[in-house]
Amino acid sequence: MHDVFDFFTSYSYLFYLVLLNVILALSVYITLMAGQLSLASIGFMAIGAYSSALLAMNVGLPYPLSMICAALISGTIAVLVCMPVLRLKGVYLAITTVGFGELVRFIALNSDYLGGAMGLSGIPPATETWHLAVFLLILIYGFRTLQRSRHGRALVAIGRDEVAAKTMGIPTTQYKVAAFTAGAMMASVAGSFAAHHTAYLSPGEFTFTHAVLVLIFVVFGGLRNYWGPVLGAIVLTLLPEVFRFLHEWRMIIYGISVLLVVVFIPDGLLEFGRFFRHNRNKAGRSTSGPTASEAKLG
Amino acid sequence: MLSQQIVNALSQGAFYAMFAAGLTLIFGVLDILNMAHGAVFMWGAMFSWYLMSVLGLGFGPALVLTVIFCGALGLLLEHTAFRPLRKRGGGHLAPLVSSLALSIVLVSVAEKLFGTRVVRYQTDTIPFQKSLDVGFAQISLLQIVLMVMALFLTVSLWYLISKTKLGRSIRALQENPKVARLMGVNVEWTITWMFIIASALAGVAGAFLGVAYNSASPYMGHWIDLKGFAVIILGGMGSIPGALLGGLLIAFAEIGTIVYLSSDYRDAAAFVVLIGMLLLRPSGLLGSSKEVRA
Repeated sequence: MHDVFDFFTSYSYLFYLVLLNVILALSVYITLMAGQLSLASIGFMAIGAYSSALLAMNVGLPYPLSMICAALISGTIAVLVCMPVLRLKGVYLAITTVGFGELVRFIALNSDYLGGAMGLSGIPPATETWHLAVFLLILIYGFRTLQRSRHGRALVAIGRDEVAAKTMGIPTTQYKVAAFTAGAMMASVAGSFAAHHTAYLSPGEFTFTHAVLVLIFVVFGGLRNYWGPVLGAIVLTLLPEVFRFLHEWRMIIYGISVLLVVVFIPDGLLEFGRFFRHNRNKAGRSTSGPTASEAKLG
Repeated sequence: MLSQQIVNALSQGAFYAMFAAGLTLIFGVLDILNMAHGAVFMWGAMFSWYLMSVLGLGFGPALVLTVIFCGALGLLLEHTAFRPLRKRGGGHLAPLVSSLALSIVLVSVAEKLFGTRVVRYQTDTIPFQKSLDVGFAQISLLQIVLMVMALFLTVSLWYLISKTKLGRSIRALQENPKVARLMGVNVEWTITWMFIIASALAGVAGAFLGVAYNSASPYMGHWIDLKGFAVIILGGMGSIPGALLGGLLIAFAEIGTIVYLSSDYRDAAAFVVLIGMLLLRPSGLLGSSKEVRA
């Protein structure tokens, strides 16, 4: 028992990182379910992190409350942003949301109030790794409920073919806005966790590269259901750690692994097992999300 | 002072145009965002730096070798990241991620070979160092060469697409890949050449940027990718003259921001222009009226 405890304490940061990345991957996944390729998650993570930190430091809000307020702020911004932005399709949407994330970062970088390039320090530390685990369990329960519900099926229908979904009477705009906002709030909570975990924030944590890595987690894991992003984030967070002894080679292995999975297992790592289990019933999958190769994304 | 800034903006715009021309060519025809374009650009700079500063070659031969090398990288890109996915057919997402993965590999290999630090050129290897005083501004010979080169390359690319056999194939492919194949267009061959040309252009842009700023690093591809997206959306996806126009406009927006606001906001300028453009006229200034809105 003592050994198990030791194991958890010595790898506690890694557990935290895995959980954080899984939450982020799910925040990207929910917009992808509705066929919207948004890279805004990192921007909303930054908004969540900074608002929660400032609310805790300057207003003196206690920790869970600052996080909830930050999520509400992010949600409001998401609704405002997505009204014009969600009219765009596919790659155009992706590039605009990258632009949004970069603008958020520039504001953080150039504002003295937000600490500028030096970053924000002295944030009251409050996050424990188990907080993330609890939040993740709630999220997974939420995704499970969603996937079996009318709303989940509506999102998947929009993801497969937006025009057809609209024709069938699904209010596509409302669903897209809802998915975008939910993703933003999830990312915001992840940001608050991060802010109160390290007690320090800098704009360098929220770059385009991070936004893109989260998207890679999702596609690497698979888009068929919510376990795909979970698996993708776990594997790709651990991969560089496992190969740490290879030094500079580890990122090369990382890139090649992603390339191999995307090229040879079109439905993501989650579907790897199905290569060997052809007799499984494939017909009963109509409620699951579109795969990377099926998703038209506009 | 202002005229000096205009000269700087023109030469900066020339970079952007050279970089974005390849990006827009691939997007316009294949509807694919090539995320490894910045990594090829970075290799253009690092490879030419290696040839010039370590092996002691002149800028001319180094540029020629860089073009060949980056063309080969384009071939690699097409064969590993795009062709297998195209065979399967499918959306934007898979090629986007596969090219991202390859870009991670390219950047990590550069890190491994050249180290993670910014490298400098030996001062005597930098070409066209003379600068001309034309009364209202100082123009370095390098800036002139760069502008002429950018103009020449975009015009030749435009000529290639509108007048040659390869260009006809490219335009047919853009119109309708299936029909193009039925009409006897060698689709795979055409796409392969598009990637070679696009990557060679990125390599030239990289080599020039390296000498112009006297610095190169494995990470220089990240920011130019973002600028490239802004340029091709502004100019209109798939339009070669649009890349030239978009590049110049982004450069002027940036230099304008530096002059009238602060150099801190320089990088934000491109995105403000980009987002404004997408919301007002998403098909870009010179873009085709392809559907971009939901």
